[in-house]
Amino acid sequence: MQKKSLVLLILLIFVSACNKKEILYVQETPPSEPNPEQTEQIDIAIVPKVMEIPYFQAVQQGVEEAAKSSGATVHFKGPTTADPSQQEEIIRTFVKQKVDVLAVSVIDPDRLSPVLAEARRQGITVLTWDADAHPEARDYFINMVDAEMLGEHLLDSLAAQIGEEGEYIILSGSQSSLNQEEWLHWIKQHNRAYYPNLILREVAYTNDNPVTAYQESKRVVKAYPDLKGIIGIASLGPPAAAAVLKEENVSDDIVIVGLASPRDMNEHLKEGDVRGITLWSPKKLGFLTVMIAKLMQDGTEIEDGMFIEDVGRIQVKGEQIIMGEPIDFTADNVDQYDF
Amino acid sequence: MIFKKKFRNLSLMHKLLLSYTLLTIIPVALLGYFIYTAYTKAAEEQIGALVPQMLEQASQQIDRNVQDVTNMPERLYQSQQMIEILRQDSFQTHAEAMQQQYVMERYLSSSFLHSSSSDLLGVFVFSKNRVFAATAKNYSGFSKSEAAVYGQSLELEKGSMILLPQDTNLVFENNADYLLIGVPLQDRDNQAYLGTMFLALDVAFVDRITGTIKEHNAARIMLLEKDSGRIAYDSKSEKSDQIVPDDFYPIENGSFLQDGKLIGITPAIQQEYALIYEIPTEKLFAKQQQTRTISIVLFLLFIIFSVCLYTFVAYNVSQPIKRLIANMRSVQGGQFQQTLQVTKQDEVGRLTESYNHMIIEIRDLIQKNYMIRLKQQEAELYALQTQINPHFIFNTLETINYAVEAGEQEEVINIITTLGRMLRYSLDNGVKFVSLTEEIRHVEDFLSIQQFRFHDRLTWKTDYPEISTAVQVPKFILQPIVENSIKYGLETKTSIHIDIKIHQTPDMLILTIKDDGPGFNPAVKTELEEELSLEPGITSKSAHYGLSNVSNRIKMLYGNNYGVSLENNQKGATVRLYLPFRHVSERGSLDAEFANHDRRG
Repeated sequence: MQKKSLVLLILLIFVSACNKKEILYVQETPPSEPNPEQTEQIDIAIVPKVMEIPYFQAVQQGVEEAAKSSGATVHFKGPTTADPSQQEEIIRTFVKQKVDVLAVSVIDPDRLSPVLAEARRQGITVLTWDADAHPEARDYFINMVDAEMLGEHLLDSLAAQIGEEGEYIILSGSQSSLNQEEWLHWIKQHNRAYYPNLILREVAYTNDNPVTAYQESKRVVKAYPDLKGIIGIASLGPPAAAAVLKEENVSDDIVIVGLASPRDMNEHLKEGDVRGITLWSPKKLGFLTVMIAKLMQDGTEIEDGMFIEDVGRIQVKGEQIIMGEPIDFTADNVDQYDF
Repeated sequence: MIFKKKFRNLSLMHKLLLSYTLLTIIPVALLGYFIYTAYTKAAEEQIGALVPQMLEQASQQIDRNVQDVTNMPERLYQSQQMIEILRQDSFQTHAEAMQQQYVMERYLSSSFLHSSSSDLLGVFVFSKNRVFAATAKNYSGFSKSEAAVYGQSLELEKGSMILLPQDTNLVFENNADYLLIGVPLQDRDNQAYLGTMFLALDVAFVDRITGTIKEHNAARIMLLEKDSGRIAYDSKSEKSDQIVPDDFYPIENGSFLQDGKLIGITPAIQQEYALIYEIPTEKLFAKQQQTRTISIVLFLLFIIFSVCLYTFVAYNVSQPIKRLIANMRSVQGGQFQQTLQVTKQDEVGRLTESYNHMIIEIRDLIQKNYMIRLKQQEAELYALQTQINPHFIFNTLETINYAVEAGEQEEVINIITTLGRMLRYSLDNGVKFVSLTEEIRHVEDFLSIQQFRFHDRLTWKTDYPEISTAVQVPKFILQPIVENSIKYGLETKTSIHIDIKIHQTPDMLILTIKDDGPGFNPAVKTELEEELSLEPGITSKSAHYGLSNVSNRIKMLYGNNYGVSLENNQKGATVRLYLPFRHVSERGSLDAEFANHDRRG
């Protein structure tokens, strides 16, 4: 009896390794992909300055692209002319619809900031893009390029083409546009610092209206006979100016630089009337705006150097999100861009 | 119940051993077993918890590596020229196309393959029916026709994907295993699809990352694609086409034991792959195994040693009891002679002592009570018998008859007077002790009556001191001896002389009966002496009843220091009776002593 129990005991001791799957430890998997399927549909309202100009049409394409890839519901609606009151009306309608995100290219910050601030109070995430409102009225401003860099770049390209001396004018959009005013500021600053022989004669305004742009171009060309260059910092400026120069037959005497859609400038570039034009991709801007809206709604922190799918890395400076570098369009590459 | 019954019937020694086993060895063994299993379990759990953490780090590193490679196409966007090349469609002149091919491939080579110490085997860009490739090793497969397939599927998915070598016909020289990471290329400015970039990542990077946790190659590390069960990387075997079944791993993230192996698993690369770590437990627990062996050996030694020790102890306890049992058995058979030796002062020793005491008491009781009473009765009966032998009376009466016929009136009167005195002496039954003088006179009476019969053939002489009247002796102690002398003496000789002498030493009275008869036959004498030396009461019914009876009575009354001695002198025999020297005044105390003796028995 004792022997048996002893043998049993020893056997028990030896039988310790078993062949079954014995789970030792289960580590909790950290919450994987942050909510892959958004249960709640997000409404994003994008309000451009005007609807029917190429620049904002390109933005609309980018917005639609982003809506497809992000799955968000995106409304794109702007005034038919760049009229602040019309834009205000549109914004109010969106606020009433209780959209989740409101992204506006602001025509007149003074007029529209109160509405945007009101929308914010109602819990709507307010973004501005392309043109900023007053800082307290929005969460983030999505800027296309760094204002200082753009201003300097535009003046540098002009100076290079006209030989760093002579008179020039600037065609801006409207006085109320904060970012156009900022670019203007940097152009003037750069002018004072580096180009003493370059003289800015006037800043004219297009009011984001092709007709006004044409009229103003015509007026300044006539007003300043020694004019060497035009810098257009609103997208309607350079095409209008180029058309005027062609009409007046002074395309070779006056250099145009500035911001314009390559499609608008295609002919002028190819014919050599304009050597180069600068812009960013409005498609990319539209795309980025929707993506930022979506990310913010998902609760993602927007950080400097963040990588946005199909956009690249963005810079964040305070409440300003900078999309990237401007693109220079020339006769060689203008065909590559479809906006 | 059976066990209980069996246990009850076991011997004491076995009971002790069994109890010891139950109380010591089994608890120690169980304790040892439980401590060991608990320890091993704890160690396993600790390592089990450690392995997934370790793996997770490696997995994160792998993730980072893969992520880095997935992000590499960003480099392409940094070059406007490259984007422009990609934007071009394939309808160009051959020279232009070749020029672009050259520029692009040089760029890929310089900024992807040679720019960082990555494990890239090659970079492929499929765009608009064109293939740009830069590889670190020669390759085959992966032509334009396939490019379209993967490109399109990627365009639809709008995200990166990872392909295994089995998925494509891309084969590198040396059959190097790789992960093929496909990333769609997007024209960001125009928001249009440009093409697809494939980056072939050498799986050797997993080897490098997991190098530290491999523990001298004892462990096997695998990278498994979860959905298909295909093995992307295996540290143990090259090129494995083996498919791991879906339910092979019971958990997603953690560790478990199987087939003597500890297996850790953790998800890797966007949860789509699993990093698996396998190590045989004997490698892991080599030290514990050694400890276990040592413990078992020590435990066995402990068992052997303690069982020996305990057997010894149990033997020591049970052996004296066994001896007691054996002795009791012999006592049962009537052997009271042996007592046991007491060697220890423990309970068993005391028991033995008590037992010995009891045996001695019983023995004394038997001797001093039962046997003494028996002997006493026998002796008393004999005393009665010996008072007057009918034969003697017949012979005396015959002598008287002759004397009457002869007319010897005076002689007749003498004989009758003597006989009457003898009869009176005998009849005085209540008295056991008489004065020595009375006893001697009685013997003289006996002798004188015998002399009437035998005349000159019998002569005697008595010699006793004055003190004789004051000395007490048992009745009838001299007559049987004298009777013997006459009987044997006159059988062989014509005449006999009997000499009775009384000596006295300070504490002893010696009665000597000496005759000149034939003496004791040497053989008979030895036999007699042997009988006389025995304890009183153990007397055989021998022919020498008279002598031994006298001896017994003396010994019983006075102890073994007194008794009867036999001796053959020059002619004849001498019988000595040794008695204590007592005065008549002590007669009462003598009786009392006897009574004492009586009670003690």
